[in-house]
Amino acid sequence: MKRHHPSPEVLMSYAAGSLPEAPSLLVATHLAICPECRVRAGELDALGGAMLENLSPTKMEADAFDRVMARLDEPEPPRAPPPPADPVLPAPLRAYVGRGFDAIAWKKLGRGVEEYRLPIPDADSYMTRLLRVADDREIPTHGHDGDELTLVLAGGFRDGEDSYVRGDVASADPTVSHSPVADKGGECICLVVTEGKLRFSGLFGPLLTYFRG
Amino acid sequence: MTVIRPLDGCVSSIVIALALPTLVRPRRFGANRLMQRPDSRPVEGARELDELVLKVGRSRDREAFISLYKHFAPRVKAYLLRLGADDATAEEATQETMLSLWRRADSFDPSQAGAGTWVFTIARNRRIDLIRRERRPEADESAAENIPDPAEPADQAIAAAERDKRVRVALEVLPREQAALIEMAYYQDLTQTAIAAKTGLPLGTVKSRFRLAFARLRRALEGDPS
Repeated sequence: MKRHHPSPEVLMSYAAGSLPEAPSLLVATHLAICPECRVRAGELDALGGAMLENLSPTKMEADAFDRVMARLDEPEPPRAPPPPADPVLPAPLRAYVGRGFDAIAWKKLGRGVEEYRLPIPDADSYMTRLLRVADDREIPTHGHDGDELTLVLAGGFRDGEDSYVRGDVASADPTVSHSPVADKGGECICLVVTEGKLRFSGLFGPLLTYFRG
Repeated sequence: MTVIRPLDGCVSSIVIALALPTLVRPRRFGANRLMQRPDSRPVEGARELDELVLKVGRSRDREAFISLYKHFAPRVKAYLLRLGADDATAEEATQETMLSLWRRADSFDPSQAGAGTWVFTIARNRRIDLIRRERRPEADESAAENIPDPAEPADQAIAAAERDKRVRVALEVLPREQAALIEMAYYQDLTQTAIAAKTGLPLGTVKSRFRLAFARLRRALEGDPS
């Protein structure tokens, strides 16, 4: 089956360090599951390394060297312990959720859809949430003002011709209005990062937009 | 005392002249086609830099750290300045980057990435942390339990040193318009949408140029630098 990865542009922004925190979390979570993209990301880090080597060295302040040397014996800041393993949440995501998958406090959105919003500071520009969609239920038809990235963590969904399973990333730009449907035979858990605000269409669209906006 | 100064200068020139043949020796890992800026001296070979980081990691070797500082600190600062940091902030973040290098050298693994690539990732992450004030989500080894099938794609991975070398060569022969976009991505903190807005190019053009650059990079990594 065809696998779906983040676009090369998104991977490059992640490697360059220009991708904001919310989509970076989605990319890091995908990398934890996808060895192929880890190789790609390593190459893009190497591109950054090559560019660093190409830069003309800049003069340091006269006392910079002494200041660094004086700090070498400082006690190290404690390193955060890796989060405990979780069957659904890969380590980068587990660190943000702060608890195991089974302990998530879901909020019902109705029509078989529940969500959990992640606490990411840049909430004005991005909405970052876990969606839990019941067996064979549809996620309400929506468009968005910016790009939307969806990473499947469990189960799967279909969107038109394409189907997505754990590890797959669906990318939608503002021109896309779509209605993904969870696969039959189990609930579908996704990490969804949406830039800007959602615009729901359909009968209840304006109402949903009002409540969600 | 004034009499001694010209003599000092004279001695320095001799020292430089003596040192020069070693400084301009060809770099071990190809890349001698790389254009050297007039004010930059040739870098130590990639393998020497790796060795220095390993020494710091193994035994907290201060001499090795000093060599690494001399090589990397002025470049890390240049990188931070290119990304818009003011001088004081760039100094501080460079200092933090060098301290992270000192503290985390024990986790450096040259089979994953060479020293230059590794230091780039530290500088990038310290910048996100200190300047952009965001967290940097990373997929580290602790996530290994989530890998569904590590065997197959690992075959595609080429050794880190060879990969780093091929990336350097690919960057050097990249057409100017594609290189300019990559520079914007790495040095101006711009996403593609922002690059399109800044250059006045349609987003589709920016995207297709990036894809061309990627395709070249991929070909170079597969051993065909043309």
